[in-house]
Amino acid sequence: MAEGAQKRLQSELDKFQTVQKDVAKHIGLRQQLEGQLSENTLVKEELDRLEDGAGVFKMVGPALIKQDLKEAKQNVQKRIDYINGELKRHEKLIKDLEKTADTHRENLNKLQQQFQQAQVKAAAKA
Amino acid sequence: MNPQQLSRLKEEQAKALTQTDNQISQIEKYKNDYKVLQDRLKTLPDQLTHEVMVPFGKLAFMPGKIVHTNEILVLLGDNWFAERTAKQAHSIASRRIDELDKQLKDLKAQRKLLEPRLEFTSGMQDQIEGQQDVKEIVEEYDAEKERLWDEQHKKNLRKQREEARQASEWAHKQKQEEVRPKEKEFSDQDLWARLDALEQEEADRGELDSEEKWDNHSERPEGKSVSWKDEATLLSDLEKSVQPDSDDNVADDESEENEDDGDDDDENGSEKLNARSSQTERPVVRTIRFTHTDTPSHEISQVNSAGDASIQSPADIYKLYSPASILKKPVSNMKMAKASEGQSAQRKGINFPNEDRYCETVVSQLAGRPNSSNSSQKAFTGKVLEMSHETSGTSGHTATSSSHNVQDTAEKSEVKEEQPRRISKFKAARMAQQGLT
Repeated sequence: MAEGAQKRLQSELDKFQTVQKDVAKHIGLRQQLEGQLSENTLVKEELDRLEDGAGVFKMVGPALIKQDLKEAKQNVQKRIDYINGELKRHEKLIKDLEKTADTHRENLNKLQQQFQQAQVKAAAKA
Repeated sequence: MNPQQLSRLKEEQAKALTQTDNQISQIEKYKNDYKVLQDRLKTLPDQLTHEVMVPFGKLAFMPGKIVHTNEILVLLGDNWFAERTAKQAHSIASRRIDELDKQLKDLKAQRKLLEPRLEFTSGMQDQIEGQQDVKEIVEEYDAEKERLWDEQHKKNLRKQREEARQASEWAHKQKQEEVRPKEKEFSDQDLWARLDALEQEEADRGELDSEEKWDNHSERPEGKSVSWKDEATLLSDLEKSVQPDSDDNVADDESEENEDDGDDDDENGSEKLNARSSQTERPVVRTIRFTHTDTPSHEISQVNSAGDASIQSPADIYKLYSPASILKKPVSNMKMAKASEGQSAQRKGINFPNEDRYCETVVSQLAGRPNSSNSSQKAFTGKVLEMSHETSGTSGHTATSSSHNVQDTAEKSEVKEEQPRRISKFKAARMAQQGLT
C-alpha cells in the first residue's frame, strides 16, 4: 500500500516537474519574443523616419545586402506580425501548461497526504 | 511561521532586487555609451579624415584613416542597417537614449516595489527570531489548568460573597444594637424635651428655610400652605398638620435616622407632634368613631382617619414607595400588624397592658426599619384596618377578627408579642406620650 502510494507519488511528481519545466521554457521563449518584438518595432520606427532613397541593408551571413526601403519596411512589418502571433501562441500555451501544472500540484498534494497517512498507519502498526 | 521559509522568501526577494539592480546598471552603461557616441558623431564630420588606430583582430591595432566622415552605417537591429549621415545617426542615438530612459524608469519603479517587500520580510524574520524587542504574544491553553482555575475562582467568589454577607449582617446588627440602647436611653421626658427644642429651632429658622424642600410643611401651621391647598380645603388645620407628619415619618424611616440627622425632618416632626399634643389629639383619639364608605378615593378617607388619630396614613407611605415584591410579604405583614397595633395602641392607650413595651419595640423598630414594603400596606389602607382594631380594641387584640382579613389579623396578633416591631419614631413619640398620660 505504502509502496504503491509512493510510486504514484513519484510518477505524479515527475509529471509535475516536466510540466513546470515546459512552463519555464515557454516563459523564456516568450521573453525572447518580446525582446525581438521591441527590437523590430524600433527598427520599424527608424525605417519610417528614413527618407526615400536612403540606403538600407540587410546583413545575411557575412554579407550586407542592399534592399529597397519599401521592401525593408514590409519585411520588418511582416516580421513584427509574425512575432506577435508567436507571442499570442506562447501566451496561450503557457496558460494551458500552468493549468495542467495546477492540477498536477493538487494531485500531488492529495497523494502526499495519502502517503503520509499510510506512513502514520504503518508507524502505528509497528 | 517557519523562519526557514521566511529566509527562503527573503533570498528570492533579494535575488529579484539584485537582478533589477543589474539591469539598471547595464542600462545606465548603455546610456553612457550612447552619450559618448553622440559626442563622437558630433565631432566626426568636422574633419574630412581622421587619423585613428584601427583594431585589427583581437590584439592588434593598425594606424589608419577614417574617411567619409559623414557616412555612417547604422545597425537598426535585427540585422538591418541603414546608411545615415552623422547628424541623422546622432538623432538616432538620442532616440535610443530616450528609449533607454523609459526602460530605466520602469526598472526603478520595479525596484521600489521590491524593496519594501524585502524590508517587510526581513523585519518579519527579525521579529520571529526575537532579534528586536518585539515579541509574539503566545498564551498557552491548558484545559485542565483552566478548569482548576475556574473552580478556584468560583470558590473564591462564594467565599467573598459569604464574607460580604456576614459583614453586612454584622454591621446591621451592630447598628441595631447601637441605636437601640441609644434610643432606649431617651426617657419620654428627654424625648419631649428634644422635640421641644427642635420645634423651637424650627420656629427660629422657619422663614429662612422657606425655600427648602419641606417648607410647605413647616409653613402649614402659619396657614401659608400653598401646595397642599387642595387637601387643605378638605381638611382641618389639625389634619393638615398631621398629614405631613406621616410623610415625615416615612422619610425618617427611609433615611434610617437617629433624630439628629435631618434637621428639617425633625423640625417638621416635632412641630407636628407638638401641634398634635397641644391640640385635641389625645381626647379625639379615644373618642372618634368613623365609618368608611367604600369610596374610590382611599386617600382622602384615609387622610380623614389619619387626621383624627393615626399618623400612619399608609396611603402616604404607598405614595412614597413603590410596591414591594411578594417575597417581602412576611415582613410587610409584620409591619402592618405593627402599624395597626401602633394605631390601636394610640387610640386605645389605656387598653394596652404593656405600653412601655410598645414604646420600646417601636423605638427599636425605628432604628432597624428598612425601606418599607407597601403592597400590604396598601391593602391595609384600603381595608381600613383601624376600624377593626377599634372595635376589637375593647376586647383585646387577640380577639380581633373582624370583617376583613382574618388571616392578617391572626398573623398580627401572633407577631405582636414576639418580635420587635418597626415603627416610625414619631409614632413612637406619640406612643410615648400616651404612655405618659
